[in-house]
Amino acid sequence: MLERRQKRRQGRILMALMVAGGVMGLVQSLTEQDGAGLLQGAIPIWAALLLAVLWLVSVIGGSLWYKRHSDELDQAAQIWGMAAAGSLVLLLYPIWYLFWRAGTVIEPNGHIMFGILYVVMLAAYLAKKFR
Amino acid sequence: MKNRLRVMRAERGWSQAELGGRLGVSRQAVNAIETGKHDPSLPLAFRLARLFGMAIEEIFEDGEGGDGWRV
Repeated sequence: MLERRQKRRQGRILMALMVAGGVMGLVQSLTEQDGAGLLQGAIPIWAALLLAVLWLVSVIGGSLWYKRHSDELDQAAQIWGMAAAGSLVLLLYPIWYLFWRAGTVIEPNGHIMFGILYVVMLAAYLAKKFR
Repeated sequence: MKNRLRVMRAERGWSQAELGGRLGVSRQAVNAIETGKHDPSLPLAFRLARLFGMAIEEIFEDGEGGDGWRV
């Protein structure tokens, strides 16, 4: 069946992206120069370049590959997820910044914003697709 | 958007998965269109119309009434 084939292909794409993510984490941990803690130590420039290229290739390539093997309902859910996450970050960041200026919260943090973006994007995608 | 897809599909004895296969979309997409949760793109609406041998407006109802042309 078309749907089963589609799901198998999508599963393979997600698996490939997870492997790429694992490789990125592994290279960072192996090349970290001073063990100051998780994601705290510096990495050499060649590793940063290598990982940046791997990130771009896997995200752009994975997105194009996924788009080829998904139908318009899935694509509508993806667009909804991205719009919801982007809107939330646009709304949230200035508020966070203002409260940081007022000295009530920690400084706006890129890792946290990136994490929020991904979690909200995934949650909105799933809500739209399976509501 | 309201539509007659469920009835038309049942008249032909097709399952949602079968219709999805003929249209090149998933069973979930057919279900979402039938229940009005997803409005199909224009190309998909044309594929549906061709498959059932009907005009798009015979399948989908815009709920506006009248001839619907507004600026």
